[in-house]
Amino acid sequence: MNAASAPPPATITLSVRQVLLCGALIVTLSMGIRHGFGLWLQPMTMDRGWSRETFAFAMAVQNLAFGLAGPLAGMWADRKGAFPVLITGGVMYALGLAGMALAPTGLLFTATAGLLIGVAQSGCTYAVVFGVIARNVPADKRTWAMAVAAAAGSFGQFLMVPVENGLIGAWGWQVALFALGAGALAIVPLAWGLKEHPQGPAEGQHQSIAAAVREAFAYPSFRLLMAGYFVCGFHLVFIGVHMPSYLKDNGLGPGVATTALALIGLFNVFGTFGAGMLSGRFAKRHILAGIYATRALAILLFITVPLTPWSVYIFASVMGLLWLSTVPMTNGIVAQIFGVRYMSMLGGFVFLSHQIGSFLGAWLGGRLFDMTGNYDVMWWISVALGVFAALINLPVRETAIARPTLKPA
Amino acid sequence: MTHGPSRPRWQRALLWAVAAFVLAAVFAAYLSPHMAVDLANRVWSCF
Repeated sequence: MNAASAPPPATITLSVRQVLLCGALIVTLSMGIRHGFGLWLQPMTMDRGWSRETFAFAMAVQNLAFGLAGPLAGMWADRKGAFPVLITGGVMYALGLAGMALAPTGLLFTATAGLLIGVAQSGCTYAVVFGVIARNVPADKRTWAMAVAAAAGSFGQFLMVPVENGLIGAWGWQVALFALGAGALAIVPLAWGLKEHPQGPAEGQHQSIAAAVREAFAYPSFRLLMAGYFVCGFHLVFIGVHMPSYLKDNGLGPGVATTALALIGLFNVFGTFGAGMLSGRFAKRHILAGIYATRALAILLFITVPLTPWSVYIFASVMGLLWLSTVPMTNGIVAQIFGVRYMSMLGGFVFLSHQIGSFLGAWLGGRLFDMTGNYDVMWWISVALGVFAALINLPVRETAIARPTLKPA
Repeated sequence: MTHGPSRPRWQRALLWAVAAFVLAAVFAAYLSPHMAVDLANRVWSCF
């Protein structure tokens, strides 16, 4: 028997219901709060007299810090349990939001809204929560459980945009940030529900972190998953950041962009949960390939048919279905291949690839627009990357990695 | 690990109905005239 396929009974200590409830609420808060930060651009830059670049730079730093700190937060969670990481993440999130409200200069704004919040997010989002889920949910339900938590994150994103918009409207942007900071502190009590008890040696216990990292990066399927996840980040951030201006350039009103945003959010919840349901029937690599291929097809149709409000709504609904449905699939395969011992760290590495794709999706979209005056090249790159991601997911091996077992002398 | 007993059908239906209601309510919030104008102004002003 190889190590990765061994059942992990020694680590299962929490009820599935408790893990799902607390994990889902934590991800709802952490993902939801970050999703509406763009709403602060206008009031903050006006009040502080900053350029949009100041705000955008801090958000870019936040996304990179989120990705770069992910493997480190994951290592910590894998060694000491998710509990201290979640507590630290929740407190840092609250401090970062308070700092964002009070920062008088662009530099301090970047340090708080960018660096501090980015690192905080790495401690209280998918990778850390998925580690607890992986260790406490039976393997046959694992991807479904991750999909439930990811769908909660999708719901958080959907819910928090109107909530944050309402908070800014009712209390002003500064008090709204303090209110969100208080909300982020709710992660702290919820973390108690994910506190795992120390157990005896479990699967992969004797593998060092360095050995786990070397093993993962030497394994072709892990590299393919990272490459696919890079494309996911590229697609989402390009569309999320640049689609409103694309619609505006093509003469569509702002109401169309708002409705598209709502449709993406709504269908994202169904898509993420639905992908988890499908994972029990189909191979996850096939689901991933299908998601990326459908994205490529949807983008291709979107840019080739005449642009109307209804073509935007249909595109937004389809992309919403495919938005975060890659998250439980990708992480589920990682757990399936490498086991759950270093799940959070490996999930953090995969997510780093996602964030690099996100950064490029945002930056390259702007760069190519400045060079060509339109988004045509970027849309075609997105189609090509979708096809590429679909193809590279097909040969991914979902079976547990074979590890040599130590024989007694 | 503890597994609870499976829920009766009416409870599952109720849960799905509550979830559908919440999603519909949030979606409606996006489309309410005040919210739509407010949000569109904030989102649109970025470009």
